[in-house]
Amino acid sequence: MAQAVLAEFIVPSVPDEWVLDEAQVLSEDTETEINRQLKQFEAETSTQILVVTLQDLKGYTIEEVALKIGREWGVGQEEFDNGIVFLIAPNEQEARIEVGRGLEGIMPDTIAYAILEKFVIPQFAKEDYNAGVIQGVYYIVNVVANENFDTSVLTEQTKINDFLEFFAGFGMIFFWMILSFMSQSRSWWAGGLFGGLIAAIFAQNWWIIISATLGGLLLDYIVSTFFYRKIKNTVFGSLHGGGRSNGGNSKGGFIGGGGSFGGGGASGRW
Amino acid sequence: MAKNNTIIPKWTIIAAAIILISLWLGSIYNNFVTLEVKVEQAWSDVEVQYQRRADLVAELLGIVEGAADFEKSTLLEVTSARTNWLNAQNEGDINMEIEAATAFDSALSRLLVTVEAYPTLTATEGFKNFQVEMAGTENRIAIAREDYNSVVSEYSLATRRFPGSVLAKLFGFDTVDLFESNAGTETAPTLEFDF
Repeated sequence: MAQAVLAEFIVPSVPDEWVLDEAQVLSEDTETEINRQLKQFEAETSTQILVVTLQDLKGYTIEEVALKIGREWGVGQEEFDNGIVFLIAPNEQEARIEVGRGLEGIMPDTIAYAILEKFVIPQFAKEDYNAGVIQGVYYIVNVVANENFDTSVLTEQTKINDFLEFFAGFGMIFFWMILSFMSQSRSWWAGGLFGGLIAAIFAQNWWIIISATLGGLLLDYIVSTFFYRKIKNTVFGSLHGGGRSNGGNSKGGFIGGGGSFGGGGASGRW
Repeated sequence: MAKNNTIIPKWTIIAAAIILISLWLGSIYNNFVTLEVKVEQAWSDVEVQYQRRADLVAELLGIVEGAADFEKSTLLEVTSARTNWLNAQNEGDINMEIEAATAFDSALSRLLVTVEAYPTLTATEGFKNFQVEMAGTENRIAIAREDYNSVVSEYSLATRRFPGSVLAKLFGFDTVDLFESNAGTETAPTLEFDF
């Protein structure tokens, strides 16, 4: 295995379609058709299959490059890790089906290899890249279609994000409420107690607990002495004022957050 | 009767400094914990892939033992290397595991080289499937090791550079070694595919 610095292989920028024919070995018709199929497949199942042809692997193994593409572009949904990269390198005469972690069960290495060996490589050996890709995609889709992902989870993620943003706003308000509470009385032991308790819950480490207790005591002392009764409890005012900074859908875009790849799949040569 | 202080006395500044320091310490500690957890997860990934290989090798041993005149010594080497690795994993000692894993690597290479001299074995469907799975497993192992090393590097940078180094010792975060292969075991056992 070449100990080349993988960071130097420059992966093409994320495409906005399901087929990237950098090596220009596919016809327009094939590209359009495959694109249509894969787009529909993703819409139906959330599984994202990309077909990529590269002009030059620049000395790297096809395994390294396919993995890098899968990871950098974030192929597949983050929730399901259901991405596949069908990589073809006509120059090096190598092809690979890189399988995301979530699909390794339904498409083990032996099946990926069988697809390549029986349906894809024989066509590539004849330089018929169109046929090879069409066949390959057909069989890949057939195999992974049997893995059903609960796509309702995808919309739930956006709701969770919105909820978290709202909650963060509350965090700020909460902190302010604590400060105003501290300023209501001149005593300052509560801050220490509070700080120490929080530290004890989250960090099992004496140094943290001690410094948090001291910090809490001092904070309360300062607030109680210099801002006595001056920090108004403006909770309701903050609620109206503090809006959500990001109202948009943070999971928009072509690549769905990014599924993870662990090196599953198979390669073939001709 | 609160005093109306417009001049902040010196000790208040000190107090504020102490609060800030404790917040800072807290965030550094949490960062260490996050990195350490990542290291643990990455290591368990490595173990999973090696386990996968150990299981595959068990299959291979089954196929190979059937061959009547197969050279026993290489078989025994791999069997004991595999057992050593399984034991090391039970102990949970990462350094021991790394040693056992690399010994497993070399014994397996030697076995595969020997197997290739037996065309009756290599031509079977079972062996072909084994080869494909083996290639996949080696790929996964290599990737898991690289991922582990990069996570360990992150952790080491945080806990060994100043001032992190002082705090790491204080908080009790130990150094973790990279998974380095011994000389001669970098090349994974190679398998030829005939189309």
